[in-house]
Amino acid sequence: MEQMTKYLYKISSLNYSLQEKQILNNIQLVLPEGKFIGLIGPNGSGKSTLLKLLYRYIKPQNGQVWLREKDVWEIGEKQFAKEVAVVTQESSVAFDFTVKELVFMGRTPHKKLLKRDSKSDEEIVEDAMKKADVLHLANRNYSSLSGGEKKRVIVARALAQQTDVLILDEPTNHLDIEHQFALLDLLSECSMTVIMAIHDLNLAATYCDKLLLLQKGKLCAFGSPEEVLTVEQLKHVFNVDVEIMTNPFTNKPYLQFVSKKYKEKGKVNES
Amino acid sequence: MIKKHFSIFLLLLILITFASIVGAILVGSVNISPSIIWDVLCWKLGFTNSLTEASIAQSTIIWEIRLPRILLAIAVGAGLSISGAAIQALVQNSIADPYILGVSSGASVGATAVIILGAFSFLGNWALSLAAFIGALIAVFIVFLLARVGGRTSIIRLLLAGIAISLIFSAITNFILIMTKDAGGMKAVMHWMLGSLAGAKWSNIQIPILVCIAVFLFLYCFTNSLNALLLGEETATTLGISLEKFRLIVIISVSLLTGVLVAVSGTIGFVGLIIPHIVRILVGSHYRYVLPSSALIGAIFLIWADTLSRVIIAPEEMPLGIITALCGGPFFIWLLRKEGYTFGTND
Repeated sequence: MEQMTKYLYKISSLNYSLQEKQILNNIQLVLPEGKFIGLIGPNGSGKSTLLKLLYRYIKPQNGQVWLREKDVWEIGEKQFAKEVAVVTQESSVAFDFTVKELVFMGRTPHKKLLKRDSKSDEEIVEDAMKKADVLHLANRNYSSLSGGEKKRVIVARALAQQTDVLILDEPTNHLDIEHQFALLDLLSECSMTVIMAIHDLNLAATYCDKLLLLQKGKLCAFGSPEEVLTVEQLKHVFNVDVEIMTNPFTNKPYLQFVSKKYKEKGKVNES
Repeated sequence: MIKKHFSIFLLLLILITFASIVGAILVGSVNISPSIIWDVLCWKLGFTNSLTEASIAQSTIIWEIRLPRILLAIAVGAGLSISGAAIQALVQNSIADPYILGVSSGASVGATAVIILGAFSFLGNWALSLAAFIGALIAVFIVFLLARVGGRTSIIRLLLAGIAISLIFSAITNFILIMTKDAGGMKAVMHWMLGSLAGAKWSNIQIPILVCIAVFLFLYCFTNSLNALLLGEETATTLGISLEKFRLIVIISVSLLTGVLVAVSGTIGFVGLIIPHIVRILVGSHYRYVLPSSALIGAIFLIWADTLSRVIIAPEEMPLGIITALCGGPFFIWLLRKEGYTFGTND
């Protein structure tokens, strides 16, 4: 008999289409617990849609999404928010809050009606702000922060939710290189399962335990970065030529992309 | 700063409210002193057996005319302000006011039908309020139905449907007005539409006051959810808010409150729009601070606006809506031009 591995998410024959355009096509997938999982694929391959289905914001037309033996749509919003925290792409806020107030909102699913912020809430929020390195911004207004600071505040809010799953939709977008690394360092040090859509394949290779490759709504590959990031697969899905090396610091694959123009010219030293 | 000492700030606002009540009783064509107010209050509340200083006429003016009117001003000012604050969370936009869902235009049709066409005359004195209230709820109900698509409430549809229904209902009101030959009736409708608290009596202020308190307490239970709404639909959902249910709750409670208020006071503009703005400058956007501050500042504002409306062209009364717009408008423009005040991060 097959060994029963503990799974976090199970997705069975999942289809999703919007206005007759098929966005996700027959996805079958089992995501393990406790890993850092990266979701990669070209623009329009259905990454965001798959994430939205995972965090039960949109309903699939066919198929089901299971979170630990339960259909996500049978879990109420509130209970779900205690299990899964989300950092969406939207980061604008209609009205201004202070950083601390925003991070406190991560405690919302844990609150009963009329319940005041308790001492333990205060500690959890402070701890989350410390982890995300925004404690020094606690009393600043959110709107006055830079893009990187804003992202870290939203991550702090998600941490304050104290879930064991964290889903992020392209969290490194619009961040400078320093803040990209800082954010991913932070996420990889968390004990929770992280599922993240990300564009930068080298960052994905460096930080993720498992990669999930989507192409035109279909699951192309799922496995370790070494298994997924191959020359053939990248050529097939992204239509780019690549040379795969090894990052001496991480021992993970390092991708050297070559555009069509320079490929024809060949390597400088060899000519 | 204010947030750190928020309870002191609230206490201060409550004191100003009480001072405003006393101040507003003092102002008027009949001279009254604070000791006379005290005398009348003690007598009416049964602490003393007879009036020592005040005359019966003064007692009647204080107890039967000015006090109910001031209490209604408090209910209307507080009610419109918290409704505005809640509606702004609902639509995630600071340009919204409590009438945006069509409440005022629906109420106007009801009121015009009663004043000009004599509808509901069997209800006697209650006809106007009841017809206005029913008109308001019908308008909101239609707007809400129009905004539902596939089981979801679309906010942009809600706003657009509100505008469309307001236009249609205003057209009906205007049609009735144009067709009538009753000049007195037309003036009465104009007065009603511009808002007035002159009709306040102990008998008709109880419902607005009770509904105002109930809706305030109700919304105050949901401050966390109101805050989360401001973060956008998706984020609010991921924070565990049942978006559809909660929106329904907000729409129903706010419509009920504004409907009740419009029914007794007519449509008083600007309060529900500017008070939440002023409050946000003072205490930020967190609804635990916004709701109580809006209620008190709205109440204080309307007490004085109403007092002004009584005395500015005495013995005539200036419609309250004119006062609130004339005070509120320039302030709002100043706010618009002021650097450092943002209407949201998209600004």
